[in-house]
Amino acid sequence: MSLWVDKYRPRSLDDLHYHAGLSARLRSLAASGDFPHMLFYGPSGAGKKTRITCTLRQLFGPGAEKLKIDQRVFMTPTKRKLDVNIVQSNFHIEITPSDVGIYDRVVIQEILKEIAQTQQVDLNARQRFKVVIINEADSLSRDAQAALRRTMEKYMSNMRIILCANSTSKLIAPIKSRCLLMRVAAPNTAEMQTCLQYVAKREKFDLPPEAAEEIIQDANGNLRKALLVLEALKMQSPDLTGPLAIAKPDWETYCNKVADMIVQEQTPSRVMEVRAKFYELLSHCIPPTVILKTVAERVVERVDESLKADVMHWAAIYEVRMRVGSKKIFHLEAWVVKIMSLYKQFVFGFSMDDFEA
Amino acid sequence: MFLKPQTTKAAPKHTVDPANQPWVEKYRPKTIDDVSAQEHIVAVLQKTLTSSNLPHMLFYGPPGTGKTSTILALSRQLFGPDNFRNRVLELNASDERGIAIVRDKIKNFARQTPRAQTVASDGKVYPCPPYKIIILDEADSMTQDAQSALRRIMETHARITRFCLVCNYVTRIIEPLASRCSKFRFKPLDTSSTSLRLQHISSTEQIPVSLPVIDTLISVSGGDLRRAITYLQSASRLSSSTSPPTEITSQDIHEIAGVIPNPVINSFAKVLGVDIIDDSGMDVDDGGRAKGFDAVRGKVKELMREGYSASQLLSQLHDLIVPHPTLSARQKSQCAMVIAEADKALCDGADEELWVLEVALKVHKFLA
Amino acid sequence: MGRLFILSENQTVAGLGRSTAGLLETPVHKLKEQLSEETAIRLSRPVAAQAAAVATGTLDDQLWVDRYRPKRFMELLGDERVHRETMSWLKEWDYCVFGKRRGLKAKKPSEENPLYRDEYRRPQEKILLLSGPPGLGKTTLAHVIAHQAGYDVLEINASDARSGQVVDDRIKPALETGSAVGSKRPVCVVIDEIDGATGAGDGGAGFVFKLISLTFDRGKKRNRAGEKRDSKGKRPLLRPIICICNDLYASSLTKLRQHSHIVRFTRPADIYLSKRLREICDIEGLRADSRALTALVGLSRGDIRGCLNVLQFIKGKNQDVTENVLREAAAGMKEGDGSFTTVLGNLFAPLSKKRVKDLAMNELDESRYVGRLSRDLEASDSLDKIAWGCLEHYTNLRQSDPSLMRHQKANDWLTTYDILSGTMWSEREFAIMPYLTYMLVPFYPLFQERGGGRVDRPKAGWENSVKTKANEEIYKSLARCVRTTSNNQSVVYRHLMSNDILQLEFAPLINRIISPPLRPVNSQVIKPVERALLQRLVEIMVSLELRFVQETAEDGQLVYRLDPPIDVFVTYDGKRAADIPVSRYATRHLVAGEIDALLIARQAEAVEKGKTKTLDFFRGATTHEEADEVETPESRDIDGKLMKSNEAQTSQAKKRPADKIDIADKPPVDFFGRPIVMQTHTTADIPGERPQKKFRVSYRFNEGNSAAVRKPVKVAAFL
Repeated sequence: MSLWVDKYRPRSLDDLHYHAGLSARLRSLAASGDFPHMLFYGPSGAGKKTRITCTLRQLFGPGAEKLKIDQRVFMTPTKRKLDVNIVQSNFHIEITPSDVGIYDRVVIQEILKEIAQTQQVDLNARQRFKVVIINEADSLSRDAQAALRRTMEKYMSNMRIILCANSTSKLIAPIKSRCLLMRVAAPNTAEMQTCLQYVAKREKFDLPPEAAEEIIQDANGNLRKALLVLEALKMQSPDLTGPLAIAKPDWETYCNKVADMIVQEQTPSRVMEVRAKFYELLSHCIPPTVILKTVAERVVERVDESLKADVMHWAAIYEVRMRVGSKKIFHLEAWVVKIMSLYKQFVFGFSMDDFEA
Repeated sequence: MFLKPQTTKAAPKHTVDPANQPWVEKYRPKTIDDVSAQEHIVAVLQKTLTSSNLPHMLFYGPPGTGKTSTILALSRQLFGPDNFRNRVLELNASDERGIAIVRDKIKNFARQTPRAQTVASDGKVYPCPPYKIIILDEADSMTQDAQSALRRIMETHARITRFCLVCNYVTRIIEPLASRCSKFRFKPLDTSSTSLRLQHISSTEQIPVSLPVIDTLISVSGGDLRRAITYLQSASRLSSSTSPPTEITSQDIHEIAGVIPNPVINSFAKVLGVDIIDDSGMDVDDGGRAKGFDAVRGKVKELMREGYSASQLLSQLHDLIVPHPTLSARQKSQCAMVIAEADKALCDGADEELWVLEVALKVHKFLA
Repeated sequence: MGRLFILSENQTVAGLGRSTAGLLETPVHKLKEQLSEETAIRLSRPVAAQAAAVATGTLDDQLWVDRYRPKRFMELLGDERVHRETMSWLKEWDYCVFGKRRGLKAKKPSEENPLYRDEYRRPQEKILLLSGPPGLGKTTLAHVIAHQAGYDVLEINASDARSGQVVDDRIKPALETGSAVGSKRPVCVVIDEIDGATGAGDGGAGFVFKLISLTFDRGKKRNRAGEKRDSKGKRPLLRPIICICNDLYASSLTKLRQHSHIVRFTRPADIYLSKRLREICDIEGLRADSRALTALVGLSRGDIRGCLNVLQFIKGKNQDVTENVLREAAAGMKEGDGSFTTVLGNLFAPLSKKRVKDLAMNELDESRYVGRLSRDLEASDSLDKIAWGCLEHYTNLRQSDPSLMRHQKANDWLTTYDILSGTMWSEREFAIMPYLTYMLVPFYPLFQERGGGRVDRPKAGWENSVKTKANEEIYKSLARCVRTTSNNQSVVYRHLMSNDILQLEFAPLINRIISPPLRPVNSQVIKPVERALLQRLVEIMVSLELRFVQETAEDGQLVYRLDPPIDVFVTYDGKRAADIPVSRYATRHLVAGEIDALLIARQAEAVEKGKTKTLDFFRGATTHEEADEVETPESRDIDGKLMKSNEAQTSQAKKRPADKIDIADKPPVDFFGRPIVMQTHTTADIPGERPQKKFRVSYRFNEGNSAAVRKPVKVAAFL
C-alpha cells in the first residue's frame, strides 16, 4: 500500500491515460528493434518519467522493474572521491547529474564507458543494448553535454541513452539532433479529470466533479501535484463534502503574504520585513526563482493594468541576474525595491525622469 | 579510388550492426572527392595528396558542414587502412583533454617517428607521407591552458607531425595557435547539394521520400547535413516501426526536429497583435489581438504547459516577424532586440516562462 | 635596558591593595622595595645609561619595539583591569600546577563559584582568549604575566602550521610533560594570531577543534575515571593555554569562544601612551615636542608598536620629531587599517572631526571620498562581509526618501557587485578584483549621515545559510528514507525525489497527508471510518519510513517527534500552517503504536515466509520470482537490526511503544508516561506475551544482486 501517486502510476504503455499517439509510437519503436536515443521533454508532472519506465518495460519486460541501488565511488581529476548512488536494473542504469554537481562530466563518462564496454550477457534478453537514463538532463553542464555528444554515436551498438528534461533550451544542438525528441505535454483538463476519477473509482469513493475541477485548476497541468492534493484532501476531510479548501503548499501561501506586504506599504522598513520573509523562504530550500515568480505573479494580480508589464519585466531581468550572481537575496531585494519604487511613482503620479533631472 | 575494395580486416571492438549504424557514420565520405559542396577546400587538399606536403590546419565552420569528414577522409587516403591506426590520433571532447593529456598523450604521440610502410595489405599504394596527423575535434571546447600547451608541441614536432584543429568558433582558438595553422572555412551547405545527398541516401536505404519532405528536412536543419541525415533516419525508423510502414510526411519531420507546428506559432503571434496571412486563408481560432496583460499571460502559460521549448518558440516567432509584410521596420527591429535579449538570458539559464512572457509583453506593446 | 614606565607608588599600592592581594608571587612589600630600588638606580644614572646606549651604538640594531618591550607586570601599559583579569585567571591554575604550596591563596575563586568543581581545581574555562586590535601589546602581556607567574612560554604563532597535527605533535607533548625541555618551570602555551593564517584549508577549524577537545572532552573523562591516570596516556589538561587573536568574531573561532575566558583589549588612553613615548624619546636622545607625540598617537590609533617604529625611523634620519616630520614618516601607516566593521562604519558615516584633524586633511581632501574609501575597502580584505553589512544596514537610513530612489540605486550597485564577484569566483577571473571595491563606495554619497547609528555586524546571511543547511539535511534524510524503501519494497517513490519536486510539491503535501483529523481514542474502540483512516495513515507512514519518536521535552514532558522532522517545511516564522491540525500527543501515541504493531507483524511474517522459502529453496523448487518476493520483507528485517545496533536511542524509543501494544486493552494512557513504562516492562516480561523469536538464518539467492548479507553459517543451522 502506498501513496496514490505511486499506486496508480501506469506500469505499462497500455495503461497510460492520455497522449495515446505518443504511446503508440513508443510501442512501435520498442518493437522495431531499431531503438534510437531519445529525449523526453515537457513540463513537470506531465508524465515523462512514467512514460520512460513504461517504455523500458515494453523493451525489456518486467525485469526492468527489478531495481537495485549501488553506491559507487568515482575519482575526479583532482583526486577527490565522489560517492554516487546509482539506480540500476539488469537492463538499464539511471543517473541524476545534479547529485554530483560540477563533476557530472566525469561520472557520465565513466558510466557510459563502462556500459558500452559490457556486452549484454543474458542470451535471453530481448534487446542487445542497455539503456542509460539521464534525469534532469537540462542541468547537465556544458562539458558533460559535449562529452555525451561523441559517445552517443560511438557506442550506439550496445547502449541507448534516454534523456529526460523539462525543456530543451539548455541542451546543446548536437545532442538534440542525435536524439529522437519526444514532447510530453501536460494533460488538459478533461484528461486530468479522467485520471482523478479513475483513482477515485479504484479507491471506492465518490469524487464530485466540481471538487476535481478545483484540484485541476490548482494543479495547472501537473498531474502528480493533483494526485497528491487529492490524497491530502481525502485524508483531511474523508467525506469530501462541503466547501473544499484546496491546500496550497505553505511556501506559496507565504509568498502571497510577501506580495501583499509589498503592495500595502512601500518604505525602507517594509523592505526589511520583506527581506526577513525572503530569508525564511530561502532557508526552507525554496529555489529563489520560484520565490520570485510566485511573488511576482501575486503582485501582478494586485496592481494596476499599466504596471503589470513592468513588474514582470523586472522580475525577468532580476531573475537572470540572480542566476549569474551568487547571493540570491541581493537580487530579490533589488527587485522588491524596484517594484515599490514603481508603485509609488504610479500612485503619486511622478515619474522617474523628474527625479533624475 | 572508385573501386574501393571491401575492408574486411577493419573489424574493431565494437561491431555495429549495419542496420543500427547511424547513417551519419555510414554515409560519411570515404574520399575527399565525396565531400559535398566544399569545392575550394577539396581542390586545395587534393594537391596535398600529390605533393605529400601538408601544413597544420584549422577547419572551422558551422556544425554539419563536413569538417570532421574531410580530415578523416583525407587521412584515410593518405595512409590507407593499415597505417591509419598508428599514424592518426583523433581526440574529441568526450576524451579527457585537460592540460595533463596534452602534455602526456599528445606529446608522446607527436614525438614518435613514424615507421615507413607503404605497401598496404589491400594491395593499393598510398602516398603515406612521413608524418603523423593529430586531429583535435571540437577544439574550441579545449581549455586555454591546454591550447597554450599545444603551441610549443606544434613547433618542435612540426617535422614529423601535423595538427588538424576542428572547431565551430574560430574565435575560441587562441591566436598563437590559429596563426600557426592554415585556416579553412567551411561554408554552410547549399540547398541543392544537401538535397542531392539526402536523395542519394534515401535511394540507397530504399525508403520512399518525397521532394517536399526533403525540402522540409533542409529548412529544418538549416544547412547542417548531419542533422538532416539524423532526422531522416529517425523519421524512417518511426515510419517503418508502425505495423504497415507509413510514408514519411513533413509533419513527422517537424515533430522529430522539435519544431513547433505553425498553427501554434500563428495563434501565439495573433495574440501578440501580429496579423497572420495564412495560405489556407482561414484560421482556426479567431481570437485576434488580445486585450490586456492577462490574455497574453494566459496564452504564454498555455504554451508552456504544452512543453514547447522556449528558445525554439522564440526563434520561430522571430522567423515569423522579421519577414512580415505589414509591420514597420522600426517595429521589427524592436521585436528583434527583445528576442535577442531573451535569447541571451536563456543562454544564462534564466527561467523560460518569465522570459517568454517578457518577450510576449514587449512585442505586444511595440505592435500596439 | 629600559624599564621605563612606572606608575607612581601610590597608584601601585592602591591597585594591589584593592584586589590582587594573593595574585602576585612576590609579596607587595617586596615589590615596592624593588620598585623604589629601581627608581633609585634609574635616577642615579639616567644620563649615563642614555649616553652609553647612544655612544656605543651596540643596541642600535635592535628594534625599539623589542628594546622597550615591558619585562614585568608592573611595566605593562594600558588598561590595568585587563591585566589583572588576565593575571587572576592564570593564578587560578596555581593549585593545579604548583601544588598546594601556593594553592592556599588560589582557592578563593573556586569558593566564589560553588557550582563549579574541578578535581584539579582548574579554572572553569581552560583557555584564555585575548582579543583586540594589533599593536596594543597582547602578546607582550601574555609573555609577561606567564613569566611573572612562574611559567615558561611555549609560543605557537602564525609561522607555524595550524593543523590538528600540530596540536598532537607539539602542544600535547608539551602540556603533558608539563615543562619545556631543559627547564624546571612549568610550561604555558601561548598561541598567537589564532585567527590568522590557517594552513589546513578548513579555516583553522580542525586546529581549533583539536584544541578544544584537548581541554574539554578530556577533562570530562577524567572526572568519571577518578583520580588515577589511565594507562592509555589520556591525561587531563594541566597547564594553561592562552590564545591571542585580532578578530574575536572570526569564523574559525566560533567554537573556541564558547569554551574560553575572553578578555578584550581596548586602546589605552592617549595620555599614557604619549607619556611613554616621551620617556623613550628622552632615553634615545630624540628631541620631540609633545604635540607631535600626541598627534602620532592619534594617527596610530593607539598602536604603540607602530609609534615606536615611526620614532625609530625618524631617529635613523637624525631628525627632530616635529609634527611635519611625523606626518611624512607616518604616511601610509594605519591607512585603511582595521577590521571590516570599521570600514563598514566609514561607508555610512563621514570622518569624525577628530580623525580629520589627526590626518591633517583639508576641506578638499575630506570631500574626496572615493579614493579613501576604496583603499579602505581593499585593505579590509572581506568585501563580501561588507556587502552583506551594506545590505543589512542601508534600509535603516533615509527612511523618508519618498520614491526609494536612493535605495534603488544602492541595490543596483549591490547586484552589480554580486554579479561581478560571482563571475570572479566562478570563472577565476581575478582581474575583476580591483573593480569590486568601487561597487560599494557609492553607499557613501547615497547614505552617509553623521550619527546615523551604529552599523551592526551582518549576521542574517550567515544565520540563513546555517538554517538552510539544516533544512537541506532534512530533505536529504527524507530522500534517503524514501530511497531505501523503494529499494526494499515494491513501492517506487524515486520519481518524487528530484530536488524541485521534493521541495515544492512533495514536502508540503505529504505533511497534510499524514495529519488527518484523528481523535485520540483507544485503537480498540475506534469508529470504523476512523479505523480505516488510521490504517491508511499507518501504512503510508511505514512505506515512507516516517516515525514518531518519543522524546522528553525540555520541560520534562514526553512528546512525540516526527522523524525525520519534515514538519519544518510547513512551519514558517515558527508557525505551522493553519489548515494542518496540530496532532496531539495522544494521537501520535496511537499512531506510533499502530506503526510498530505493523512493523512487528511484518517482521514475523517475514520470518515465517523466510522459513518456508528456505525450505523450498533446498528442495530446489524456487524460481527467481519467488526468491525476490522474499527479499522484500526480509531485508526490512535486516535493516531493523542494523538500525538497532547503530542507534541505541531510537531503538529504545521504538521498543517502548512496541511493548505498549501488548497492553492495548488497558484503558488509555495519560500524558505522563513514566509509571506506565515501568508497568509495561513488567507485564511484557513476566507473562512473555511476545513469543521469543528464535534467530533464524536464511539464505537466498538473488540474481545479480550483491546487497545480500553474507555471514558464515554452519550447515546444521539449516536443518
